[in-house]
Amino acid sequence: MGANSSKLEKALTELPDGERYFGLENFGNTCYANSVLQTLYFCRPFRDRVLQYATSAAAKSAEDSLLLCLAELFYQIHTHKKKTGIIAPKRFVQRLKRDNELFRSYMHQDAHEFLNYLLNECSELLEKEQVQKHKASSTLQGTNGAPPTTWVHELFQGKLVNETRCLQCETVTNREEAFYDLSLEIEQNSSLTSCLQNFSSTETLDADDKFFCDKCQCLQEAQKRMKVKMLPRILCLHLKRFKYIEQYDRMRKLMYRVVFPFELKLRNTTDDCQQADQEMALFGVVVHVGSGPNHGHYVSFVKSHGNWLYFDDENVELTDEETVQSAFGSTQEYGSCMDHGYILFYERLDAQDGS
Amino acid sequence: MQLFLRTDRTHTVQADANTTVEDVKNLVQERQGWPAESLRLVATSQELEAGRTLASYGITDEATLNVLARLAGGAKKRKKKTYTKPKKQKHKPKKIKMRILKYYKVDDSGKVQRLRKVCPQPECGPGVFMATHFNRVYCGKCGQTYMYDKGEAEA
Repeated sequence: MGANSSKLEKALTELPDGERYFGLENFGNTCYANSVLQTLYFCRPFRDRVLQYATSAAAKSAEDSLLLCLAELFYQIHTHKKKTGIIAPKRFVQRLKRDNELFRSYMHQDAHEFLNYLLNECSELLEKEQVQKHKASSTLQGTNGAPPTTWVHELFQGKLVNETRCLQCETVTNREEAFYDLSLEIEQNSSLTSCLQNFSSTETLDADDKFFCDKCQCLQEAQKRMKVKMLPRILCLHLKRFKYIEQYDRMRKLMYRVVFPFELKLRNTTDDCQQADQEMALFGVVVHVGSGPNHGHYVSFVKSHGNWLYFDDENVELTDEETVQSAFGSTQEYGSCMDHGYILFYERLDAQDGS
Repeated sequence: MQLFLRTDRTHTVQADANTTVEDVKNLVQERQGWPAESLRLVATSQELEAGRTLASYGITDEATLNVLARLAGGAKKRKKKTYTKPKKQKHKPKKIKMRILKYYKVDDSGKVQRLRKVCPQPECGPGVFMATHFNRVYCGKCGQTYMYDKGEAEA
């Protein structure tokens, strides 16, 4: 690491002070967590709020929780004397293993599942704290029934509209659904934009999957589509790089080449979506390395102050857009390229903090 | 109530408040063949854990459940070791023809004389000779070493 870190330090001297680049130790198959943690750390609004939480009064009085461990870890990195190095997220991983049965074993895990769990756990904890606060301050005012919103919701939550049209009576049902991320179906040699388009394309529900129309009171053919109604400030896109192969009765990893742009504009929005024309910038990619769905390695690419960085457990390297593009996937079915972008993080440009 | 299951397309299934997460997974397996144990169900970005009912997650009529699988990862990548010193060469025994002649000598009367000292350790006993070096005798079996006295070494 010695020579490596000094090289990195040299490369980083031009970067603003106060930014820290730390590798995270792998405690036996925990890189699914490391890659996600690095991406979240370099998600500035998220980090700021976690750090705020770390120093807030709530954190001092709170019981030990996953959020507290996360805050402690971020705080440790943020206030470190050195600019680069390695940190062992020991307490965080211990807590994770204690809280969730799934992550307790030393098996390989899915990074998206971990991200999802982490975000939900954090928002739940924050909600609980808010409710308690309400109870403490005034027992009457906080009872308007609306679920409290936390900064996790503020950052990650968006809304979808699920539109179903019964082909018999033409009744349209709209149903709003909140999301933290969108899971996208992918195709070979496609782009993220076309995957998003597919996500919102109109589908016909027929044959075995007829729709029970409340008005007709029976099963009818129907058309259904999903559109984005509200863009979250941070948009997580999850590529469904897996497919069930009936022939072999098991899952396979899809190596498809899916080009993701560094700047993204969402087209599949509803007409009344206020952020429809907002540009979003890519700032993090969690990459799955490996040939199959059952094992592999996770690394991440993160953008910080205009530079791309590569995080692989303990290792941190400076890199460029070209290398990030290597995670698009391979054009051949069984290509030699094993790095595939799995979770993509975009931030809305209009909502940046402090500027 | 009616649920939408989103795999690579949308399925509609009927469920009620007591339907468990496993039930839904089994439905997916029935409809599309995906092995139920490798599935993940996600509703409004919340991971649905096995053993709970849909009602406990507040899932209501016409909710959409995302059906996902996993891409597992976690392995530490081993770094390739770089060696600075060349590999050690293995010791090869030297072949000396008729080496045994050095150990015995037949004297004039036809009796065999042993030229090497026999190891005195009980675990070795007669039959195990000690090697003669320039300043000591050494037993290859037990490691017993006797240094020659200065004067004796000459002899």
